[in-house]
Amino acid sequence: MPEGFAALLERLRPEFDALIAQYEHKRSALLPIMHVFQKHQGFVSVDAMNATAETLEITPAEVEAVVSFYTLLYRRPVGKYVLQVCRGLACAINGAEDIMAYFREKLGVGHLQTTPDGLFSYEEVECLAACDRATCMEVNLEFVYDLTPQKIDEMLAAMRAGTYPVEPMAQTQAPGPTWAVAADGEIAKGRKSPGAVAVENPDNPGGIGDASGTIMLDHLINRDVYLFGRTTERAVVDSRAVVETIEERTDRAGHGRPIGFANGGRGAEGEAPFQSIWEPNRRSSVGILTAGIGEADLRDIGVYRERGGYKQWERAVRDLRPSDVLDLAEKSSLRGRGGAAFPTGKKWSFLPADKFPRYLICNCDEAEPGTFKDHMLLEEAPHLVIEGMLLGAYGIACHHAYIYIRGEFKRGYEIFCAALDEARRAGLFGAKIFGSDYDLEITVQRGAGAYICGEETGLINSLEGKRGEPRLKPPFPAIEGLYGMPTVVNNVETLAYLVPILERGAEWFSAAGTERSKGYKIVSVSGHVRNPGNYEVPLGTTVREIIDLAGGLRPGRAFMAVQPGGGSSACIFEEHLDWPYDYESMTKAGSMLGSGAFVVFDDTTDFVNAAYNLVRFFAHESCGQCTPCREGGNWMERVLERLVHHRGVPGDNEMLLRVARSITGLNLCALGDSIEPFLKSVMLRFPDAFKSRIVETVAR
Amino acid sequence: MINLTIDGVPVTVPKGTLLVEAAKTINQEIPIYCYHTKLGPAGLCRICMVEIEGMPKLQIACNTPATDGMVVHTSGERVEAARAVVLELFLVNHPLDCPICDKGGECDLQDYAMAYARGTSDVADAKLSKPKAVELGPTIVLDEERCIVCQRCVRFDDIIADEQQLVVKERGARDIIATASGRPYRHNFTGNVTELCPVGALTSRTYRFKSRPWDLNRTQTSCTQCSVGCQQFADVRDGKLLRTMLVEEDPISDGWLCDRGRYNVGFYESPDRLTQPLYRKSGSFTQIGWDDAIIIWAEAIRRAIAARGPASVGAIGGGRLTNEEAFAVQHVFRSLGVANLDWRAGLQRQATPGAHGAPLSALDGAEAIVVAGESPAERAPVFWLRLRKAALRNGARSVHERNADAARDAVKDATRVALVWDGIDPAVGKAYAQAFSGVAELATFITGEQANARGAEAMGMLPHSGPGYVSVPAGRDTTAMLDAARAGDMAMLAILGANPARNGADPEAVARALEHTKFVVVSELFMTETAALATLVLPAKGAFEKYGTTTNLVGDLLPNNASLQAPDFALSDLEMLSALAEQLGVPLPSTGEIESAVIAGVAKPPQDFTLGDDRFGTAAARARRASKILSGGGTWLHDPWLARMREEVS
Repeated sequence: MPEGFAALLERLRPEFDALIAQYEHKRSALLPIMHVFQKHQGFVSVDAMNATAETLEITPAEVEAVVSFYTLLYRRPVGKYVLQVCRGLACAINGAEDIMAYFREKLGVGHLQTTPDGLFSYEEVECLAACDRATCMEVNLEFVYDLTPQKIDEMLAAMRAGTYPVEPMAQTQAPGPTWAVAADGEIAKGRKSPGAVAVENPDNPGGIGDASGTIMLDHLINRDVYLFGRTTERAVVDSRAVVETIEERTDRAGHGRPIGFANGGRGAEGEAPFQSIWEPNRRSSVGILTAGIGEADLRDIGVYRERGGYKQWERAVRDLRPSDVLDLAEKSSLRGRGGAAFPTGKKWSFLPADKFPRYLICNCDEAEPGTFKDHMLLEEAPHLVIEGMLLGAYGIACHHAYIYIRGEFKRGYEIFCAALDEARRAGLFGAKIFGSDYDLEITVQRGAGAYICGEETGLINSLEGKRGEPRLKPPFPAIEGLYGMPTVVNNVETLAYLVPILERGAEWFSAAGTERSKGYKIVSVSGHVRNPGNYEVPLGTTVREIIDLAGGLRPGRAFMAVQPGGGSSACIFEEHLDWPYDYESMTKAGSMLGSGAFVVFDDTTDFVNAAYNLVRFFAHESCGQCTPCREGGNWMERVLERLVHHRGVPGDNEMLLRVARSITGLNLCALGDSIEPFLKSVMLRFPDAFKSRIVETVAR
Repeated sequence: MINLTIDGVPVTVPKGTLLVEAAKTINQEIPIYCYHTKLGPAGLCRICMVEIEGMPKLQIACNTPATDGMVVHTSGERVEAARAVVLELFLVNHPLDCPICDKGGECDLQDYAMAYARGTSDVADAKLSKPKAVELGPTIVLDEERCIVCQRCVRFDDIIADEQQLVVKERGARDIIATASGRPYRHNFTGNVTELCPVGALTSRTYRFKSRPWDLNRTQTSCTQCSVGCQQFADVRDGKLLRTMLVEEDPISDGWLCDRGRYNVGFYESPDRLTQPLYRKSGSFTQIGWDDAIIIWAEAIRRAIAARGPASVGAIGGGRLTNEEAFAVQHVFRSLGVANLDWRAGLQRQATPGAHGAPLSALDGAEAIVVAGESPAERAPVFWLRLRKAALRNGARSVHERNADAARDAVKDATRVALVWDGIDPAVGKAYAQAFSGVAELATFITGEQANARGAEAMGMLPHSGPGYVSVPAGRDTTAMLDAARAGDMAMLAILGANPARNGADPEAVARALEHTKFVVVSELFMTETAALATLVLPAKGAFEKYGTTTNLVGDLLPNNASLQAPDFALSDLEMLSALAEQLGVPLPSTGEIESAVIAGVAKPPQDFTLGDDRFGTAAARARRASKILSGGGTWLHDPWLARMREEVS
């Protein structure tokens, strides 16, 4: 007899109370409570959402609105193993499409579907921030790197045999068949629309859909409750829904090679698997934040302290005033390392002097395609991150700091929490730190799958237990942020640099770099290089030097482009190879340095596919609040999908450029403005690639 | 004050004014979807882009406050290009089913597309398919494909209605408006979202596919479903009332309607309407003509007075009549020497607050709002919305305590207090009036059971006062009349627009009283519990079928305008009373004289009494139930659609 919901709720109640106690406002515990329910139920049931609404004193609709926003929260039962294969750009150009095709073939299901035996749920997900180990995936949120067909076979076999070393998802309910999804709740109320794919109900042969005639495609993870695109074709499904997707039909129709990359996949070369999470090959030229990573177990507080860890924190509390820390931050010319490059000291100085409490939030929602530096720091140097946070919190004189960790970084979250416990036990934070009058509490919040929560106001909303939708500005967070109070949101790397800056001085930091881009930066190099990884360099190191650091191109390949600042940045080309990699030069080159994601493309790259990949990413991650981003991104995605399939019509390319241009500057936040740069740069540089996809001559 | 220039015109506005509002002062329209004056800026639709000199990017007019010296352009190449792009993007997935869309002809998407969009489309792909005709709840149907996700409905539900039932689910282009799984969209104000919706996504179940807006005849009138008296438009096509709509700038309703006021209108065309006078002969009703009916009624009155004196005659009603009708009732009967007059047919004892009575706007500035007795939530929904607004946005404390002393204690430091009483138990009214007598700025309100309760009082439908609350020799109140009737002491009772046999404190006692009365005349729309006990039943016109005025709970004199033709032979109570007066030889004042009497009676709120005053009687009606009033006389019973909604509610 399985445990009833009431009993489960009763059992979890103390855990919920403890979660709620971590926050100033109850509602902030929404995502943490959902994570707990999902752990125990395997998904988040309607009962769970209702109980949470009651606990947090909000309405069930509000809870469901939040849950439906995040891709890692499942509103229907899923398989024992949720296989999330990365389709991010760096993986894609390294053969992810082949890997995904292999998975689909081996599992017999497609994107967002569960196998009939209820063992596997399969999903193709956005960049997992492990681009140096492309192609990668997560199994129940545990990373698996460097995928090969052989590795996949072994993995699936172990899962089937029950010997795979990752805890299976709880299954309090079997994943339901297609029509059962349609049979309940509001979805069933949607009338059959002419565009829906017909789905046969196996329990009602000859009949279509469920008893009420409702037609809905199966979407096992239920984020997509309706089908996009229209077709009148009828697809027959078995009880667990193998539905023909539009993509697959297109393949068969012989419109050319589907989404896939002409050549790619280091995996095929059969490189030896890596032994540890983060290799020392991500070694940098300088080794400041990255010093010791891959060599020593910096997760151990003892090891970290032996190497001088927490000395700066102790010195700050004992000898320095908060304003001294702020001065150091200002004098060092440290700029935000998350992407916007705003001067850190200046950001802090915007806090109103008379409004308390104020908050520090460490932004570890790293999801910019191609970026994986915070991921590394979190997993390899958690105490450095903590020390950076402590210094930042002290610098702005706040008494409650938060860290928001991307939901996919489950292991990083666990490592960080363990380190935080060590630090707490060591008396490094809490009440009356080092006998001073300074109190500081730190709360860890885990995201649940939404790129937009990396945007600071989206993050704040998410931390408040709301949909991670960016806020309308003004007011800016420094004036009205978390819980309406002054708030600073800083990137992990930014805060971490406070530690060496305190240790070695602002002058030391600002001596490195170029005139306006001072100091060091971790560059996440991925794509078509021999040794992808994180490389810490002084700003101003040339683009060519960075490529060389990463081992250069693969033998016999020619350089085509670099995307130097994450998915939101334009490509730079051969003529920029000897340009310094700093904020100003990258801007001058028509791109940006951004978060330091550095994706190298060689001559195997299909830039139409690459453009589709990134536009699809932004469309998928659009929160949907504002019109240009929501509608424009989705429209461009669909047009590019046709181009990928060689089904372009005359005018498509001009339209893409026009729409991308015209939505830029109209959006509520920066996401919508991020669509144009890469697309435009490659369309203008490689026009023939795009022209070749226009095959139909019929005027529209 | 801030001085700026909009399109070359100098404009002066208060500090903090948003550009979208500032532009209105020079009649320059900036297109908006998500912005709404009462909902504030959301910054979602991005259609309201304007160019501000000195700013490199276009700015949204809905979230940009005017600043001194600002030079704003609401048109020009860049602005127009931005608008065209936003509209183009809305139309990528919008189904463009305008020919069958209820909103067609009054749709902001149509209007702005006409005004600002390119005439052509570059879309070569199929539109996204989303759920259509989703029944959100008993009142509202949603077409997700038409939705432009402006979130006005969601924000209304959150910040105006404070219900948080309607939310955005999913994400990106897949996002939809929805309620929680398995929960219907249901509260007292849902209909407003159909009017806030700038497109045809949210529609009323009652109005779907009924008409095009240009085929509707629009009449502005006052809602008579409760004592608030919200202004509303009655939209009629081919003699049928198809919908009622809010009046945006109405200071009484603050621009909102409750679902009762909006949707409880189907009864007008019910086949159950009374269409002929009915006279009881040997136990059963017979249809008779109006001339006979009036003669029979007049004769009954004459005989009663001749045989047993004017004390054996009485009239009950007025709360559902117009001011003019209430005036006429008391005039005709008082002219005959009858003093037994009372509007009170239910639980409410008092409708006029007397001293400290205040306009609705007094709520907005209150520091504390004290509710005495039953909550106004059901009795006066839109009034209650205003209480919520005061609490949610102006920070007023909302207090509903067990007794007057506890309530006073809870707000002891407040100097501006709004006291809201249900008018039912005089002892409660008196206790609160005493407890709060020391408050510097006290505003008292009585939420009524019937739309024109206060008007009936002002017009003299009280046993102790005549028009304008002038003291008169006292007669029996309703309770005393019914007691006398049960004792066989009443020979003629007229019950006009009231159903005490259903809504009275003790319906059974009412029934016994009517059975023991020799002649009972009832004017009604339907064969109600009371009408069924009558000797003579007179088919009456409903509020939408007659002209006149009503008085709401704060004493505002409101117009009642006819928008519908009454069925067959129904007459208004005023028409009936004119005929009766003529038959009895009682001179009725001219229309103009009645109007003057109404204006005089309502205009001067009395100051010599307060809540729970003894002159209204000291005994409380035995309240056996909380009033879930779905309209004054049980009209909902005769609205098949509303009956269904009620089933779903219960």
